[in-house]
Amino acid sequence: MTKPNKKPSRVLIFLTGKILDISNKMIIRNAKKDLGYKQFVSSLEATIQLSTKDGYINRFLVFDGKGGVSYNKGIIENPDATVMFTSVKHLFQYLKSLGDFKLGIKYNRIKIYGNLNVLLKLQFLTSYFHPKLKPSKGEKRKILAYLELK
Amino acid sequence: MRSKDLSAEIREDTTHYSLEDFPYLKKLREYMVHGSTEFCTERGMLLTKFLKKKGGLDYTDPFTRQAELTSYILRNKKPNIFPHDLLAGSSTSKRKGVLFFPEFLGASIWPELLSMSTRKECPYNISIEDIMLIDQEILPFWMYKNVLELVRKKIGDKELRLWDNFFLYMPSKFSCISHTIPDYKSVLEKGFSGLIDDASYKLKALDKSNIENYEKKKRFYEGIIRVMEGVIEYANNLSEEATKQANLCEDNLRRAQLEKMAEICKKVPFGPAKSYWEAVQSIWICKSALYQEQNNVGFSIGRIDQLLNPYYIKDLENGVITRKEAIEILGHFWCKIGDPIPMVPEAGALLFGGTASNQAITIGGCDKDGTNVVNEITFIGLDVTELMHLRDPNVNARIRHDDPDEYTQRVAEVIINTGSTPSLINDKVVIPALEKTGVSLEDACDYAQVGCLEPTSTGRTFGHTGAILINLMSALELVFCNGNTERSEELTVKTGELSDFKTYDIFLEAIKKQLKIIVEKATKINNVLGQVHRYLHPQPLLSSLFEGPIDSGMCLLDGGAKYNSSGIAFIGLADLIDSLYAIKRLIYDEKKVSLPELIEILNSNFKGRADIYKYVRNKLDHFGNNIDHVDNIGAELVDYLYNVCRGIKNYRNGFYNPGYWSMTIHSAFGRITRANPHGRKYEESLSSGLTPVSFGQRNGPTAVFNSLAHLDNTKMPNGMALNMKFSKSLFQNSEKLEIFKALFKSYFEQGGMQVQFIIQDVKTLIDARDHPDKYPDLMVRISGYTAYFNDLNDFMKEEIITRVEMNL
Repeated sequence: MTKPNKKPSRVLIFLTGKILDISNKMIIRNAKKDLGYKQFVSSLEATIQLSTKDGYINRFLVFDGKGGVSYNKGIIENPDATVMFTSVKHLFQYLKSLGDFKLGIKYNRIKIYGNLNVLLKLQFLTSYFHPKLKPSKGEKRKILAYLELK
Repeated sequence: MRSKDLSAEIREDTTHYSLEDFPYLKKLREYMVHGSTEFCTERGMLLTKFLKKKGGLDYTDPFTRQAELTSYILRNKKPNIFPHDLLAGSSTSKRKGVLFFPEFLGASIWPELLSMSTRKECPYNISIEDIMLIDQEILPFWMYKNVLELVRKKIGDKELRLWDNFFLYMPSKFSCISHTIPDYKSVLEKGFSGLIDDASYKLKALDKSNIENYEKKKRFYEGIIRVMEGVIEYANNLSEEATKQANLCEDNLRRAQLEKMAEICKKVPFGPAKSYWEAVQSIWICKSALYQEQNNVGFSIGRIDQLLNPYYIKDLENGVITRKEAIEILGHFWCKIGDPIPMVPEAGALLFGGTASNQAITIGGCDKDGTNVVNEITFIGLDVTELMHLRDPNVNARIRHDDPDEYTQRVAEVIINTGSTPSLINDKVVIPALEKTGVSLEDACDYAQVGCLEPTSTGRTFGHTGAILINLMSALELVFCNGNTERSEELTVKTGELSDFKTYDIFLEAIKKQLKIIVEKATKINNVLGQVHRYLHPQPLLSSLFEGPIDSGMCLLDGGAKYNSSGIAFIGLADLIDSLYAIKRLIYDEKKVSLPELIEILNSNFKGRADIYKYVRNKLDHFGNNIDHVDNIGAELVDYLYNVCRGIKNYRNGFYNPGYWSMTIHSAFGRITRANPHGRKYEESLSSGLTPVSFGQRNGPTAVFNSLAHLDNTKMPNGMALNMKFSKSLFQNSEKLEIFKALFKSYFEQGGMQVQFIIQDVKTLIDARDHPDKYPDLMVRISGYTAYFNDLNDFMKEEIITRVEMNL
């Protein structure tokens, strides 16, 4: 019943890795320049591994709990949470769907290990850049106003 | 049969009111149906603030912590009385709000904080301030100690395999444990003052010789007293709020109402209820207080007609209430019940799209001696159900052989007029089914439905009836691939290579083995979850409103209730019956294809094999047509699953009860279940509840009823759902109403347990799908509860539209 996985093309591996890198680097960039976003990031202190089961893609994120984020290639030991896509193709499809987890759940394309709450928070952080979800300028102003009040 | 104490004049008052007769109620209903839902952070914030101040979860023992915590929430909760309310209090700080439980699956809303107000399905309004509170204050506190994390830490990722196992089963204790019915009767009769006296007496009488036991019970009694005092303070706050509003009110009628509400909240639930309005208000305060402890899923009310009728009759006799006023007050209660909206994240909408909070109310039935007790409130309850036309509460009517004709008639009328409610439940089957599980006859007679349709002895059985949902079709897939699905390896056990299945009987044994393993895996997780709840979320308030805990000095989670059980809902039984029959015929009897060939056909979703597809779908017999050789497969599976479930103990020393209902999960499981041998294609919905598959129903409603009654319904103590759809236009002919009544009565006489209806024309449903704005409150029965058609996801809408339409 189990079909052998086809080896992904080098182009697919490159493209998928690149899109993943760009989207995660947005977190770092925004944490530096957007005060409101930095506040969101600062409440997370965790390490997160993002990988594909076939081993072609391995990246990890480190949130230091003070608003600092680093993003690296490779494998980190004992991450708080791991998202493992069943293949590069499935990771690519996930990124293409702009992070629609429902697809992953439906087709069992995502394996999750560790603390799911950490990943839910990460999803929140990435939703900030989602073309349909990101806060408007007015909402960003409200976030800043809230922070000032606090 | 209606109350003998009533004068003829009262009995003759059967005026059918419309909402135009109740302007306040009309406005309230308008808001409950059309008003926007707001996300409420009040509970989550109070809870987190309290625990942060105390230094975390472990500052004291779990029971004391939970009692202090719940009491703190109740004392500090905003006492709301909204315009037009006749019942003081609300579940959240909003008129229609989402209750937030960060200790359960609250974090699942995290990814949607920025999108929840604009998402397509079930949007919730939320302010930026609340988003910040949730993200910065509430969820970070729970990140490493919510139920999911505690379970994972207890058993590890490897054992949990949440995503892999989702294909097999869904444990619901991650979000709640509330599928039960509190004992409201005791609070109406004694008030919290009386219950506090009972607990204080027990506390004083504790045996101090066993110090460990003494300390534990002492903590229990002190805890429940503390939390009951919290409810009393909440009621006092409501009373003060009502007085405050009355003093500012210029409208004479409204001022009088507010003054009355202030007076009532001073009296109840502190003391016993003395009037109908006090009784309803007392139940509502208890219920909204319990919501602060219980994540409300299927948290049901019980036998409202039995609870309220004595107060109504007394008020009538004293001339202090009219039937119209009683309808109005109960109408407000109907609206209030729906004021907390279940928190459903977007991924959850895939599974539960359109779900109400499934709070069941039951009417009719008998007393502990078996005497029919249909009464005035039974009829008022039906009137209110028809008048309000709301998805919540989920109304269930008990049906008996000795029901008065006017009751049966009115039940049938309300079903037809609302198009969906009440659902019908058969005393003749339910009472013996409960007795089989160890409930005494007199307690079984006092049953009511929980959640969707799970019969439970009211206020005595702590049964978390919705604990586990199991996809029966996963067993078939597991047998096909020897326990290694494409989704995940070694999900269950090996049951043999395809070549091992030389006979149908060997194949069937493999299915049974996989089913048993799935049940064992699911119950194991449920039991671990129960242990985690004991630490994270003991239940002092519910324990004070239940038969057993005050006597035994034990929390409900420790087994303090009179009866303990857990419920399993099996989903897709009709599909499994049909698939097994198709395999028997195709592979073993007719040898049309081999088993490997069949699996190939299924993997390709019947592509290129229209011959097999048409044959199994259209030519082979299916369950639901009164054909013994098919129905016997179902009977064998029902017996087998009953024995498996009743052989497994839960964490409270009770047993598991099997049932067959599915809410909207049959649609969700269908989307992840491969094509099946009986002609169900990949992504098509599984059959709802115990309803035969739509394309297999060929012989009309009587044949469906006969097939269902062929199964031993008393072996379904966790309930079952049979969905039937009739065209509304059918009932333009009054004779059809008589046939309709005769049909369900005859089904119940044969031994069927439950039936529920959608009475709508298909063209209306299609029009509602295409033009949702035209049908804002079109209600349909899913597989247990009632939902607004517009709230359903596209797959569920399609499932409802394609349900077979029966003729009479």
